[in-house]
Amino acid sequence: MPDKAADHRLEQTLGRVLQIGVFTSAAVVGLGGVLLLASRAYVTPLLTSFTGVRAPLRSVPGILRGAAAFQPEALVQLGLVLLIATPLLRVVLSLFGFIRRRDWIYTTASLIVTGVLVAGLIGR
Amino acid sequence: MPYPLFCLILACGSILAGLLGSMTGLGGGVIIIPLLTLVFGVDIRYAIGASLVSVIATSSGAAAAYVREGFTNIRVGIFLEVATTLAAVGGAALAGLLSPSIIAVVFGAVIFFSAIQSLQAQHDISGADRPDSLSVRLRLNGEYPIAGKMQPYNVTGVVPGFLLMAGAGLISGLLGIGSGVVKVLAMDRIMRIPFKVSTTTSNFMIGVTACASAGIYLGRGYIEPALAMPVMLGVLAGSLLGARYLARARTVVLRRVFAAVVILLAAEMIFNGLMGRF
Repeated sequence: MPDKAADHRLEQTLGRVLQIGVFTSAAVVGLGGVLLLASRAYVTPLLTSFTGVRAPLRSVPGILRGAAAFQPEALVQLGLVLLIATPLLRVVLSLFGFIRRRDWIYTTASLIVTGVLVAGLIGR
Repeated sequence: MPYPLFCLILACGSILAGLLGSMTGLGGGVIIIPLLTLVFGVDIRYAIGASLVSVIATSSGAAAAYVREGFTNIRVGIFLEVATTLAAVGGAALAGLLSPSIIAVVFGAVIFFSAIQSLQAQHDISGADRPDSLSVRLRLNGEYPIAGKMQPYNVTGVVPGFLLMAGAGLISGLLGIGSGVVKVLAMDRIMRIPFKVSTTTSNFMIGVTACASAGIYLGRGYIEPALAMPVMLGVLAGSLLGARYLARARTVVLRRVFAAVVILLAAEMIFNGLMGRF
């Protein structure tokens, strides 16, 4: 059945996207980690009571600014943002896959999931 | 504690958690959160943030291998993700309202249940006898390779499966774990999807579900880079190692030992939570 074959091809593409995403983000997190470990002045933050990570590291624009300045913590955070964005990319790709096949039920389902993920990422 | 030492210990613990989590199917989160909170005294909110990102890493890292084998049912995945992502956002919102001690008690109860569930014998069902009308309309029924041939299977219980999946999403968003056990339960027991298909599709969905709440946690400052870095890299390395070399070595003994450890951790989380120590 052409439907099944198309499903399988889409699944393969999505699997590769996930793999590339996770290894890219691990590399960025690793780079930030090495820099963090190399900076001797860095002390383990107090984690026993919750204050929340400082504000620039909570938002994508703040993280991008810090990463551009090569701040180790911001680089780690950038890698984590890439990691969080990987499943979103996967859902967006499957959305296009379903649109191309004019499969409106699953286009709708993918749209809802995309909307929820985007709202989670930008909404507070 | 100097940061390099802190990192080293956490990375080792995370590798072990990822390894055992992937071998037993319970996931790394059930070990990571108790390890961070009970042993290192880390606030449970930072622990949840670090666990959540490692859940995404594990799910995405393993999905590529599973997808290649052709077990994943992408329609079932997307359909049920509507339930899990919506509920995960709700779970993350709920987490902001509850006190850390209550979250710890709920966490203990959930991992206790998961550990018990992981000890149950697996019945490898080959799909439902008849599909229900919704699964036909939604074209959820699929096929998967078995001994080199494609074996079709039927899906049933679409509505109860969808609702239980929302429960799994809520737990994932609230506690920062994958809640793969509940996901498999919904697909395996209720929707009667073959075991191989339900485990791999569940893994496929875990990353998306965690993604829905991760953005919210990032905005709240739960994701602390100094902590998440060694935990995420460690759990990812451990789970890849576990999936590659030891997937076939799912021995009964290992399962039992790990379940016993998780039950002890669950008891301690519940006890400390009830005493208001979080």
